[in-house]
Amino acid sequence: MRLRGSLAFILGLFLMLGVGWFVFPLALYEAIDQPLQFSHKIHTGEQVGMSCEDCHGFREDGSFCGIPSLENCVNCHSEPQGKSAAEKVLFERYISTKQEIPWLVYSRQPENVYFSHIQHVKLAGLKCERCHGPHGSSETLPQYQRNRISGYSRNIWGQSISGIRSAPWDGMKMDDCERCHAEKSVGASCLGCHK
Amino acid sequence: MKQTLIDRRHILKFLGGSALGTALTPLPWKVLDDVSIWTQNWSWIPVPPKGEKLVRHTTCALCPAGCGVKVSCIGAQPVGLFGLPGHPTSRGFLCPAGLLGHHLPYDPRRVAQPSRLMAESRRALPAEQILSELGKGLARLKADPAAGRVAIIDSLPGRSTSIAYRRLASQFTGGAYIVPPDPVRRSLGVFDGIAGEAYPELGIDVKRARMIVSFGADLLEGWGTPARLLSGRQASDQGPLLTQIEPRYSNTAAMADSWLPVRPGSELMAALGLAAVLVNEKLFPADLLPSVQALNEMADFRELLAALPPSRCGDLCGISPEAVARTAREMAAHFPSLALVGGNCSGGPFDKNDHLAINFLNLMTGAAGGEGGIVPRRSLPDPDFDVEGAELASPTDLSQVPDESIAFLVIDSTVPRQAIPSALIQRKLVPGEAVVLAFASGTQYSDLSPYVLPVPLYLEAFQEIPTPSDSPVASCSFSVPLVPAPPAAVSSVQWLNRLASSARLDWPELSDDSLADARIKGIWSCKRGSVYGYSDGTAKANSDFASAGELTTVFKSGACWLDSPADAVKPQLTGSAYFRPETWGRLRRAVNQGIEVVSKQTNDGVIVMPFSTALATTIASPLAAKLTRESDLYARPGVAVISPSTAGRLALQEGQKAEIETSNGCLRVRIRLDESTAPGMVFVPVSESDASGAHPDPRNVCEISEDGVWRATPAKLRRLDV
Repeated sequence: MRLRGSLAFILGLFLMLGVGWFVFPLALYEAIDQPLQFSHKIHTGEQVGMSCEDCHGFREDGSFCGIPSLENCVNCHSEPQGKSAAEKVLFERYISTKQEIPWLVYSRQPENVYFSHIQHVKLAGLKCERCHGPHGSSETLPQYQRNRISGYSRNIWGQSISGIRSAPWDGMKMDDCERCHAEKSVGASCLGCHK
Repeated sequence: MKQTLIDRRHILKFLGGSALGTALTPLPWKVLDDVSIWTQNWSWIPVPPKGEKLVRHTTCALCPAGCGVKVSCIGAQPVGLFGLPGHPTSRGFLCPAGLLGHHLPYDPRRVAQPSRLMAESRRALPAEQILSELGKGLARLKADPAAGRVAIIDSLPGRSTSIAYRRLASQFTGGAYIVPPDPVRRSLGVFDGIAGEAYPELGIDVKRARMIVSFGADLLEGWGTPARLLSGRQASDQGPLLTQIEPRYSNTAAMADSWLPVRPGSELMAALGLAAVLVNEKLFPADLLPSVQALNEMADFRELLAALPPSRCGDLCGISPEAVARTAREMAAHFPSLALVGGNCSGGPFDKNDHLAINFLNLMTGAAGGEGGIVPRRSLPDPDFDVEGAELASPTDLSQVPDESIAFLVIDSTVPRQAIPSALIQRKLVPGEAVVLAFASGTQYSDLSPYVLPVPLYLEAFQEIPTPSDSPVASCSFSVPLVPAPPAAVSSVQWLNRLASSARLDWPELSDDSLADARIKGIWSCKRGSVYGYSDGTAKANSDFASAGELTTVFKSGACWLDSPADAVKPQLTGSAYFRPETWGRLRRAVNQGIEVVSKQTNDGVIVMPFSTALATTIASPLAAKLTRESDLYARPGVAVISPSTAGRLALQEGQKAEIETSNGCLRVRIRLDESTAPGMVFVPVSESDASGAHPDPRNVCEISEDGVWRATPAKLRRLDV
């Protein structure tokens, strides 16, 4: 009788451990394909030789332009560059119809957060990789995983459901900003980022 | 008896294991985190627009300091406010309320409709109905002045808008134009007239002072124009030495170089005790010797200072004699050293005797009329405005208005920083019959005003910021509209036009534009000073502007005018009140009364004392208020701060509910213990939200004297659960 009770307890324990650690992440995140496959490696590699700032640059007033508009792509892709499936989608679905590409942004922050790229990149001298990891040299875009509750990308929380960071760039929550500021002994006040 | 395979106990154990298992996974914590983020994205929460960022400029109108502001806009929507580094007075400073000023239009307390208090609830009514009711009331008082007087309280006097208020008051027999008690103006008033007619006003050259002895002034918490003092202290360690003299360990006291915790009501004796050391040890500047000799010929002066040696002064004030002597000697070693009085009027203004005694230190240190002290300044040029022969009512203090005499009161509460306690206003109203109307953007004075007419707030209208009281030179700037006001919110001048029409008064139509243009024309005509343009960061001589219209254009894109400093004026100090024997007779009597007040503090009761700071009483967005309170930067409304020893004596504990009882009523509070508080003292915070009626205003239970002063009030404090 006592053994059976212990088994029930252990069964419940392990069942929920399994649910919490393995089933819950699968249920929490919804995988969504990017509208188009894009190789950062080709664009930043020797063949093309572009830098991050060629597409993700700063405007004259110092504000960061973020994801480039279709106009940037057209500068080089006014004619199809090769015969890949992605090139075909780019040309037929977006360039020829002049429709902006609805990229899913892995680093999108809540509306009340203002992150100044120019302060971090130009003033503090941080590399893009510090926050975005090896994204700039990736062969393909990772699948976008949308949190079904909050609506934000999995990249904000970090890849591990435990919240344990596997790399400095794994995770883009406020805790990550605060940790980096603390490491570099740079003060941070609420109104620095929240307007 | 047959045993079942799975019984209730097994299920409970299974659930127990499941609960433990769940707790050992990220599931509950992650769900909690995600749900909290999800709540940020509800559809009714305003979302900042996206798009190209534009920079505009304005002047903060939330308090009289008038700090320069750089506004980041996405399209027409301001999304971020920043201090303007090159601004000649604010120098990039912007307080927490100013940084979040663009949140104010979304404040749930925002008043957007005309309303009237009916059966203890506020109801929105058509403006015509309210104006008709108010117009009838005004017409009746015009016809029958014996029924009571009409009075107007102007929260920020000196604006061109103030002309409209003064004009309305002048339309009625006995009409009163009331200005709130301004501690700085009151203080400097003891030297009025010392610099002749060309310089009718006085300012404070705080930036060049080498030592400041502050009697309760919230110098590091928003006093005056904050950047004038803060920039000096931040620039180097050689900023002015600061000694804070006040009963409470305020944030300013905590940041000061030294703090003298005097007994409440003993500031006058502390100031005279310091003066006695300066005079008796001949520490004053040599050129003041003839003045001191003249003073010594007055018996009251000699006897008063002789009666307050450091030992006696320290005993009366509750501080050590060494501290008294040391502070006086430090003042002498740091000329120009400056004595400043009082802080935010919400915390309780000092009376005239305190001002006289404390400012006597400025006379003895050479700060009166000298560099780094109290300096003469010209007035802000009057608006070049034809008032068509109508007289304008002169400013008066609410304490000068007889009790129970006001039958119709208009309150301009657009700048609530200098809010007058409701109890003091109530005392002046005709009982049961008075009509009170507030021009408000929030709920200030909502407990007092049956009628509220909405006005635009900061960033919604072209608003004038006249010379701050502490400024060493006259100045003027304007806050420009960046967002539209609610349709029903129009300026107080427009409301007055409609009210006067409804009451059939002899009232020429006024407009905000014509009043502002008249002010700018007045400034342009004087040809003095320079205009600092916010967008290009350069200053241009006022005389270089070809027309008043050109100056208007500059003001509308963000600019401030600063008068040129006073020429070398030799103030005639012998014309001040200190050289009249009756002043010293008056101060002797005040000292004797002060000794009585101090002796009362040893009884079994407690002394309740409200306190506040300029920042705490500035209208702030809900976020700014939340951040400052949750960080414990300011005490929360509704608490009473007492010492652990007082708590022990009265069997009170931290967090307990208690009641303060005075001769004027009771106030429910929550106890907060603070070891820096003197035994027997109860400090209660006053904040902007008190004026809005969110919390009972602690000042209303204080004893308010005939001259409108409220500070230390004897009280009883007891637990509520016994």
